Amino acid sequence: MKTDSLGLWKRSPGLQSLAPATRLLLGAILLAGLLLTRPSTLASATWIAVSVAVWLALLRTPIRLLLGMAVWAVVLGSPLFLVAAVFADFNSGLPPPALATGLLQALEILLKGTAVTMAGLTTLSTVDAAQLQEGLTGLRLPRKVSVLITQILVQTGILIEETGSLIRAIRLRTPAGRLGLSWMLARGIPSIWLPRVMGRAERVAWAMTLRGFDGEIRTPEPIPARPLDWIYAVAALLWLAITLTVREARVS
Amino acid sequence: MTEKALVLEDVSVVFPASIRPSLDRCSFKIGASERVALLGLNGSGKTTLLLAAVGLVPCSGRIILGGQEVGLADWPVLRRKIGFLFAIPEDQLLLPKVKDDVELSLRHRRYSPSQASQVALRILEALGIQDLAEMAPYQLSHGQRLMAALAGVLVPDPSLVLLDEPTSRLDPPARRRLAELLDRRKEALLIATHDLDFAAGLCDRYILLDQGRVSESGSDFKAVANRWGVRAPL
Repeated sequence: MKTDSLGLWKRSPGLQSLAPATRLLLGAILLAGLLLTRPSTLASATWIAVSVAVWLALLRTPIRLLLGMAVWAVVLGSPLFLVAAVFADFNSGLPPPALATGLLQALEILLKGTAVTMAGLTTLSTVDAAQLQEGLTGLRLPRKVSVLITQILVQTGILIEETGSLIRAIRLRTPAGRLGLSWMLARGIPSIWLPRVMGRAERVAWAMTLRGFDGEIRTPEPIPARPLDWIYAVAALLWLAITLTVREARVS
Repeated sequence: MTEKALVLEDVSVVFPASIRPSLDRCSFKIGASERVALLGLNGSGKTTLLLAAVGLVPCSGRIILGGQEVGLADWPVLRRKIGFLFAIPEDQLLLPKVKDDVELSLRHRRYSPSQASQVALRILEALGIQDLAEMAPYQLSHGQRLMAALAGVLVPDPSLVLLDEPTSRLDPPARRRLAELLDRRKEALLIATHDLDFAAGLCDRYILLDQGRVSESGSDFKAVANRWGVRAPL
């Protein structure tokens, strides 16, 4: 049996007693809170860190998966340090020194980006593809939107799998130490990968045509919310309210 | 006279920017319940012919399905009578669960959700993959994906099934199970393959494509083996 090519589906064993829609809702509230908060003071940074830690403790996401997500988040965010100077205000003349201010701001964005990325990915790791669609339907999103999001994620998993095999092929065909050759092959990836993606899209469209699939599918009936779902949802909304209050207090 | 499941008359396909036609005036007939192997080497036009036969690539010539000549407007209705198995099965598995995907094939046929669920489970059992019903396609091996896709193809009882390289990447036991399964079916089959053993064991006759043309047809699979310089089918 193949493993999950997206590497995320249902990897977090926590909160499984909640309906998929509730899990997604909690993740969405956490995301909203993180996006609205600026970890620019010790208090707000601590608040973010504690919130994310509590979320991860509830989900019981495997450490190895978390590390993988963190690496991805840092890789995506680290170039921000290269533009630290852009954030620096050299004219302020106030301590701390201007470049340090820029670095702090880049660090702030990196921290926030890491938290947001991990919140999003861990939310996805609480469901599988079927539960994702069921959860999105339960959140009363338009049916086509829920189908579209699910298809994007399912097809992304398949593309990641294909990209992995492409990279393995490049490794196999590149002699050790031949950096020039590696670079040549790596440059070729887009010209191989893109037509492959387009070819797949065409074949999926053919299959949709042949099977009469027009996006209007019968999605499963959402599981009704139970008291536990309501308790978690209210707690999450309370958390969001506190987060916004902290933010407003800091702004004022 | 028995109605033919599929008739192609002078069907040609020319892709833009190609130097020669991908299909060149192909003509043949497939009777109801007849099993025909569409043989040909790589690039001979087998997949293009299957796609043209269901109106997915533009072509010239006449296509007659179940006794009805096909016009452009007829395809949405006529395609309900045809099953099509793609060479890469994951391309046609569209829903997150195998059972949901099989039920999708029944959606246009006025099945109630409970009926569709029962019929889907029946076909999964018939194919011996009922354990996969609640699984997602990405969790399956290639052979399992192929069987799941085949369940979606066969569940509405089409009168004609087109299969594109169904045995590629299958291990020998899976290949044997597939042959046994198709052998029990009553639909007309057109199977694009270069697996001579599989074709000879299952099909009544073959149509040989060469550079987009029907170069030969018959039932002597050994002659094709001789032509290709390979071991004759058992």
